[in-house]
Amino acid sequence: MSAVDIEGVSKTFGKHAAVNELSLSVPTGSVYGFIGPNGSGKTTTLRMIMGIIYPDPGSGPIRVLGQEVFGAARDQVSYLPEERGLYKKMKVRDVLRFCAELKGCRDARREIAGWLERLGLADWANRKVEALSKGMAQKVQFIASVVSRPQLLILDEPFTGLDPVNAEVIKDAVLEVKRSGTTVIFSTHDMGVAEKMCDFIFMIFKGRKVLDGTLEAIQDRYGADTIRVRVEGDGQVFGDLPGVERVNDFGRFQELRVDPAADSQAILRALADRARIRRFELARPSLHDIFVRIAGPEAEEEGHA
Amino acid sequence: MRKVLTVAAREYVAAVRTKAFIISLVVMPMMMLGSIVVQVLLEDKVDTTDRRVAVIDHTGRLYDVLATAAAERNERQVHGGEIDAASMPELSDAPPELTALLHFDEENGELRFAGRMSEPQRETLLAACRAEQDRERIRELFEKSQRQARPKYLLEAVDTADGTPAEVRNRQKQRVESREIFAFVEFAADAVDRDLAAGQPAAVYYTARTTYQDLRNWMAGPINQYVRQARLEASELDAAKVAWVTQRVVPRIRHIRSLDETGRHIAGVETNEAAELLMPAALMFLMFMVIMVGATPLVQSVLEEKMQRIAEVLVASIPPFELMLGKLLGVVGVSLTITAVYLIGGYVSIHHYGLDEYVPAMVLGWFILFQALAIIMFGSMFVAIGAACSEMKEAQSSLMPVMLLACLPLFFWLNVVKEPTSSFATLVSLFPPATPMLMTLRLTADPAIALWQPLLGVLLVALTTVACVWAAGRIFRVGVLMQGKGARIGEMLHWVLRG
Repeated sequence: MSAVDIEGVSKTFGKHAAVNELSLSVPTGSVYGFIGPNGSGKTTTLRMIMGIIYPDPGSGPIRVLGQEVFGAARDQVSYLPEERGLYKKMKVRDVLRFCAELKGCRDARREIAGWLERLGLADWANRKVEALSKGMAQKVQFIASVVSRPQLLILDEPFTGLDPVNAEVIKDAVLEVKRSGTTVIFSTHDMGVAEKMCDFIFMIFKGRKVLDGTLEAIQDRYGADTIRVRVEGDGQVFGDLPGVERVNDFGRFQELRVDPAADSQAILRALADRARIRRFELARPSLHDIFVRIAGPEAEEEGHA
Repeated sequence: MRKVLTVAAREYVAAVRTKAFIISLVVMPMMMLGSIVVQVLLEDKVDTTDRRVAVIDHTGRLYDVLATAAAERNERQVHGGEIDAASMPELSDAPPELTALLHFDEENGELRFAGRMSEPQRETLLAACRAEQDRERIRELFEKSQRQARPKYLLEAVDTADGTPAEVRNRQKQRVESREIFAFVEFAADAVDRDLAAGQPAAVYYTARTTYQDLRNWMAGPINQYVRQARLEASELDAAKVAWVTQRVVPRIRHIRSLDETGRHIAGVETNEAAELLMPAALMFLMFMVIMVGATPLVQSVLEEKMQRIAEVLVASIPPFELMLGKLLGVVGVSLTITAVYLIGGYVSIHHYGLDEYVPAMVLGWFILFQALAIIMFGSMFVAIGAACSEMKEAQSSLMPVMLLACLPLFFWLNVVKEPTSSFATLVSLFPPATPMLMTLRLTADPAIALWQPLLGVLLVALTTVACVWAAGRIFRVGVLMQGKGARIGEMLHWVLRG
């Protein structure tokens, strides 16, 4: 069974089509990554899943946890918005209790205490939200979204603005929630995180689905067309290498996108003539690379051509 | 429903903890009390510096008239003041020259004593009093007459032959400018005989402070008395007869409560304008304040939820309409809290002054019902504004029309309270935004209005409230998630109609 099922859903704001004929299916118990450039329709889709906004009339159904959504906010669905929102003047504990009660949890005291303890905020339970640092407020917001033990947890950019230590804490917490059976959907701009954490990756671009599947399946579609190399010298040696279509220079190493028909051994030989090679790795394109290929300026140009 | 209550409870607690709430509960009554204290203190702080007035008298007669009148006034009227009284004290065996100093103004219900009452005078009057009530009044008058309540008027004649009229006038003008004198008055040579229909003023009062008119108004009294006398004599009419002919008959106002069951007048029970006007006004202003203090924070609260992006989380948990209902419910709770505090305080003081009869218990029931409706009606408008705007500044200008609606009763309340049963009062009090306040006012004021009116009022207000809540719910649903610029009126209408 799928936690979320969307079939051919559109949403237009005025004349702008934010989401266009979108279909997706989120398997229960999975971690589902939502990627896509800013303004491509991610938040709109997430909001429709939560029933905050309605799809256009005539759109296909949106089923969440097996039931069709119609405006009703669901107690089993929790949401961590991209921009944090908490009442500044309330105490941490009160805010959390309020959020839990809004999800129908009458007594969330133990849950709240447990999470505060777990995320190192136990001492802050009686402080006002406005006294918290940004990272702490983000953790409190995360707790607010999980105290009600939702079956579906929707996280919009949960890691932005967190230092590595806190990001790690949240990541572990997300995985723990997942292990307890909760389906997690999160949107992110961090491709590394998406690659590492998500069972499924979904990319939306200009309101349309462009990628959907496991990381392996997606990478398979693009084949092993990437070579990561590290050479001694200034790295200005790749000009007109045969079979190389594009060079992405990361400074410490370079990623070459090669013609699938080209012979990698020929490239290695040609490169060996020009510089001393420290590393030469045949790889599948990273999610980052795929993202840029779809949404980067280059793709834009191709699209216009 | 449980979620609505959760939201209401949070809203209530948040509102009760704000400074505005504490101010409204503690500081407002203190300010009201303070303003009364200031008024009482200021009553003694009348400017009593002598007023020097030069008189350019081309008639050769009027200066003497004025000077005599001023001297008498300085002796008899500068001190003391009026006290509220129902009737002239009943005195026996008091010397007539003393009772002559007591004046009772039937029309205003005021008792005056001419001049500064001396202690022997007081004792004589007290001894002559028949009732204890009258003795109390004499004592009060004595106290009042001890202080100087008005400035003295000191007159001086100007030599009219010393230069041209313009030169004479100019000299006095300079004296006014140098503050040597306060003002000067010039009487035309034919001031006594002149027919005013001619248009030219018979007398001109020159001053640097035209807003201070006491002196001029006083002057008109003795002058006209003299002029009338002179003209009567010139026309060979009997002054006493003319005075009798022109005597005015003004009905005395007495409340029907001053009649007992048999229709006889009960001494001491007269009108009590203060209480009759004060109670309705107090209840109405209380409602106004509660709406302002209770409902306006909704704008701030909705804006906070919008700007802090709390709305998104909320709307993901509770449908927007229920969220709004919860907020309104919380505010009703706040308003009832304020009202309870004021009404209990008010009851204690009303009871203390024995004014219970002016506020029948029924009225309080209506008051609470109307107030709850008003809070929801205006509250939903405030919610809609908060949801449609994106910052406080913007909201403040959008609030103007709603504030005007809320203030509407304040423009009309005096007319309504004076004639609570007039068709104007009926009509304006059935205009739903004004109904809660004006209907309460009319219910408190005498005479009683027909029961169908408040009932119809409640019905109309309830319908309007439902409409407001419904429309606000639609605006709220769209607006609360909108970021960036606020909505125009047209857009808001669109949201209401299209949903």
